[in-house]
Amino acid sequence: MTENSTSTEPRAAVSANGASVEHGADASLDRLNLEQALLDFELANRRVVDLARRVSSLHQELLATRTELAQLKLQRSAGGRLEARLRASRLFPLARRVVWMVRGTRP
Amino acid sequence: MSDRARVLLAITVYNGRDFVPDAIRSATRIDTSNHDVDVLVLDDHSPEPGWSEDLGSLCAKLGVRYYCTPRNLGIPRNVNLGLLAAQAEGYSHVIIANSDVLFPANLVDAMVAACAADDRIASVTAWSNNSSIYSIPSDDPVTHLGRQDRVDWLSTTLNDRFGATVFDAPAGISFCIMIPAWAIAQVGLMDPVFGRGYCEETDWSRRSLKLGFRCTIAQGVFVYHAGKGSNESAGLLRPGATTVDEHELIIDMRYPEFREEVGRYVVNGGLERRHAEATTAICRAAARELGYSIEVGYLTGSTPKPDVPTVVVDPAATASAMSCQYLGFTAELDTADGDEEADLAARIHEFGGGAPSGVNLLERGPRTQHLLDALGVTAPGRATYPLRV
Repeated sequence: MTENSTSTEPRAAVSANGASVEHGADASLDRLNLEQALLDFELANRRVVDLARRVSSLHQELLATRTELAQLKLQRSAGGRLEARLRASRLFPLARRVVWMVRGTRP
Repeated sequence: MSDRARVLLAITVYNGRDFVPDAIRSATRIDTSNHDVDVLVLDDHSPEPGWSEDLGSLCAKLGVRYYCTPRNLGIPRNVNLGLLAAQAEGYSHVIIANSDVLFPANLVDAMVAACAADDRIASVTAWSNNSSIYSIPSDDPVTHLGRQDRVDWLSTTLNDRFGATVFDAPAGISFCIMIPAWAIAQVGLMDPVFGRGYCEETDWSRRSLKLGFRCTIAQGVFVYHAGKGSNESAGLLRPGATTVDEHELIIDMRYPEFREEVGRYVVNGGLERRHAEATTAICRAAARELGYSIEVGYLTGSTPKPDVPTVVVDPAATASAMSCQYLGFTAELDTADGDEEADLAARIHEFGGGAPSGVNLLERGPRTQHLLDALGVTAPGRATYPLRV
């Protein structure tokens, strides 16, 4: 095995959480670890902000879509009631015959 | 300029008292004649009381660098420490590996050579008994393959057959993956969005492919991999799960073409052929080095000794009825419809490199006697009756 850079200094007493400093090892890895942790935090924070923005935008879109759906349902319902009233009218059969005559179709 | 690579072997650890020491000892045996190899054990703040201290002591005793992070990072960020260390300290390559593995002595030679096969290769994953869809099929690998001498032999045998040959893959597997240092800079680190682990290497691989690099599997190296035991007990996986569903959804969102590509790859990518080539190479080499015996019987459940290369023959000696078994690997011997007994005997001789050391006649079929005559063996004298109803 090629020679490695493990510290040969005596180890300090070990703490319960096993932290690297207590193992007396690797200052360079500690530095890398800390730097990257800070970078990871920055990125995670930016992602949270971005996700919050996207959730908010999707929420607005959802509300608008729900509103439009409710309106369409109402219109459909109103149109349905009008159709039922026309069919129940005594004039409806006459109107139907006139339409057929105009179109040239037979009942 | 020297061809001597500087390789950092970063072994990620989280608990694993039962198997980690073997993995580290295995790492210290890697051949360093051609390349410089440094081992770094990255302990992700293992929670088992006293384990980190014991592991640190073991590493010191073996002359292996050890680092225990002060807080648990999760697999992606722990792997990133290995990648960052390799970059910061001027290594030419880094190998990221699990700790439930056994490394062959030729690991670094074989993987550096595989990386050098093409300067677009951004990652090389070792072949194994347990490497997702790429796994070389075998029965009960824990029993048969979890030994250093066997791992060394298997890797040497595959290297003799395949050399530095690689095949392309839709994603690498980080149980044992080599990444050249330039690829860390160009592709980046593992994404911490994958939390405690799973799917991060798939994401990294897909990023590398999108940049026009290659993601490959090295056919000339074998690393034994026990599997996911520690991840379930550590809470990374739900009981019975083989992945993390939420992470798979991120992969689907980022790479919607990925699943279909894997599906096509499994069907058309030549995996079955490559697996057959590997098992044939293994069983053929074993038969030629150790000698082989022949078992003639209808029932495949008659279990030959796994460490003895055994050619199993159907007594009717029909086509596709001959295989060789060794250490849980099975290789089909080429046969053809219309083969006479002499042809079958010739195929067995060619495969095994000579006559068999013994024949176990478990059942007689219509061609048995002629086959035995062609093989030049006499039938065992003990009378018996058919095993199969």
